[in-house]
Amino acid sequence: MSTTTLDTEGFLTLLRDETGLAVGTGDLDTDFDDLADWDSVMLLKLLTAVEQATGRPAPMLEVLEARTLRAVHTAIAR
Amino acid sequence: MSADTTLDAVRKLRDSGRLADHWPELARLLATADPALTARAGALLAGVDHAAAHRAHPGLPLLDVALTGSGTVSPLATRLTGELARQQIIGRVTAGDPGGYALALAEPATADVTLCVLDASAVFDRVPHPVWTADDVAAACDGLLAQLDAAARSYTAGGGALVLTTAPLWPLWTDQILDLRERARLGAVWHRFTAGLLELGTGAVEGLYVIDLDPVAAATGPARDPRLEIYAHIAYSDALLDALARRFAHLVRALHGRPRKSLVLDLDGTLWGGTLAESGGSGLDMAEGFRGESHRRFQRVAAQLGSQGVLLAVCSKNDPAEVDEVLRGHPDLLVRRDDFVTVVADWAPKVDTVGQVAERIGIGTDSLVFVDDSATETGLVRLKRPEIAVIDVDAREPATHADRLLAEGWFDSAAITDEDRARAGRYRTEGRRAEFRAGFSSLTDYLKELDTTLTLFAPGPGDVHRLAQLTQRTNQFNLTTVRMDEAAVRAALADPAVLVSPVRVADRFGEHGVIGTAFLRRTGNRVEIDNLVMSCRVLGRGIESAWLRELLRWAAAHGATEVTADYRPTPRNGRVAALYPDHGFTELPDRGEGFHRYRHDLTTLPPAVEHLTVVSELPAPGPVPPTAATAPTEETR
Repeated sequence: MSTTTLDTEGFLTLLRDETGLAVGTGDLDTDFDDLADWDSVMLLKLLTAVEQATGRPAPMLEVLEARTLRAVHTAIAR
Repeated sequence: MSADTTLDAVRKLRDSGRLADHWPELARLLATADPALTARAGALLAGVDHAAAHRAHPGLPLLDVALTGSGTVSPLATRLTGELARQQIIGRVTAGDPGGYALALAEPATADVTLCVLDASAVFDRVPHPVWTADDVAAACDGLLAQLDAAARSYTAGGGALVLTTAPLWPLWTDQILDLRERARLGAVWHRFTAGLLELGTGAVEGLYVIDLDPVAAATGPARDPRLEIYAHIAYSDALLDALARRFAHLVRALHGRPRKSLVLDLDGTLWGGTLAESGGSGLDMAEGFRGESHRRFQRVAAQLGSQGVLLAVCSKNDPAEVDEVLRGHPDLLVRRDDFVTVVADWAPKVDTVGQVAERIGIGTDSLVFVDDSATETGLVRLKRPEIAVIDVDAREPATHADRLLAEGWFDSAAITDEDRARAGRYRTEGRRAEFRAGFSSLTDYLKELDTTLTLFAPGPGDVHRLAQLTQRTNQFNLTTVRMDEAAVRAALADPAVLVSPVRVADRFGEHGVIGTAFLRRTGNRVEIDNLVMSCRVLGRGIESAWLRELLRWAAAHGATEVTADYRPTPRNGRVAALYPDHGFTELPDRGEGFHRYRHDLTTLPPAVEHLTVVSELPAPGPVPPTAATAPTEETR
């Protein structure tokens, strides 16, 4: 995993590791309301991991307002 | 073991569906894991079949753990799952709704242990106005404290334990008060509130424990993240939640796990700085300078543990005579030869010798905590003797020794009794008895001279802790290994059909204290021995025979026509497999679930034990008021 940026695959791997959710590329555009076992606390775990992986603060508010995993990824990869 | 290796191993267990069967493996894998890694492993345990794990390992406690608090508590769930697994506990953790503590504590507990995490918002949410003064905060603190006091009492009435945290006050709050004297007053108000909470946990409310978060927060990275506070109502940072989860698991282990009894210390590089065989006693560091002060602090902490009943012992690769000389004569040493219950010194690898400590003082090796600065020694002990708890210290940074010694809270206990404090003395007395024994040509003469008295006494409320402890600590002389907490002991004492019969032993060298207890149940003409436990430190002098005889005599004298009893074999209690048959019981068909069943028809009692004096204060059976216990009868032979 790169320490500065995070591609989609790396993002999904991190997500699976941190949350235990079995998510794949097909889930990137699913609304969180429809994503099985999704819990917003998972996002916070993910954000902490992203901050550690990239070495810079993640835009927490923007991420929390996202509705899909792709939007989360876009926010933190920006 | 690296973090990745650890997680891979846990993942492999999970993916192959072997988690439940291999639950104890988790403790080994996570033994050296920091809280962050333990939390990640905990996340992998979601979905495990706890009941199956318990079926596969009935010796491990299966506990329902509920989480609640004044903020969002769900981030603690995986942390607790991991930390409890690390302590050999099968924890079924459920997280309550964010901020739902008032509601959650309103009904009596259904979980075995509940953790209620408080934060400052619990107080400030009670302040009625958007702007406030220290007086407003004081009133809110008083209100919350009264509410928690009442809630804790009703919540724990059913027997479950409740663990509250204190709520540290951050600068975010103090700095809103501009008058510096007023700001100090807010601090004083807050500390009084914290003190009030802590007071509740000093025994004021049965079953309530309070974890002081202030010192934990002080020793942990940033303790809060304002983003998490506002966006997710998570009051504390990951680092603080990690530390809290670990501390909570230590507490649960103290309540439900197997206690550790002995601290086995390495010498060179651990208890003192330097190498005895190279520099001699005069070259050792334990007083001044960087090294000396570090080891001095470590020795003080070890002595402090020793003063509370931890059995201090030495396991050292050194010449035994040289070691003895330093332990007895070194002017700077704070823990001396007489403070140690035993000293093992030779040149064999520690993995082969550390067990001798347990053997010599008659405890199980799973009661040992071993400290050493050599990674080779600690690594081997971890690998070959996984039942021994191991603490690594780093001889290059002896200043960290004392913190490492305390980090895992191995000897934390729900309550330390006078019995515990006197324990080390008893084990040392055992050494003096051994010398006394050497002066006799026959064991019979020795036992006669020992002049042992066994007293079967009527227990009072002050004995509850010790009786629970006996059922929990005793592994070898424990007929059914039914572990009882204090509530269960109290219930047995209150049950008119149950006779709780503890025994005290004394001899010419002093008191052994309360060393065993039996639980008897009267049903018609039958007396059932529900369990019998005895500390191993008095084995070998016929106490169990005299005791059992007295119990049978009591049953017969009060109209019983038979006494029945169970023996449930465990890996540890093989030595009592023949106890009942040896005392005239005949075997009945097993009643399943691993229980062997025995019956005594009371026609012929086992013979009296010649060298023992038996004093019985057993009351007549049936519901008797506590004052109506019969006068002591003495049977001397």
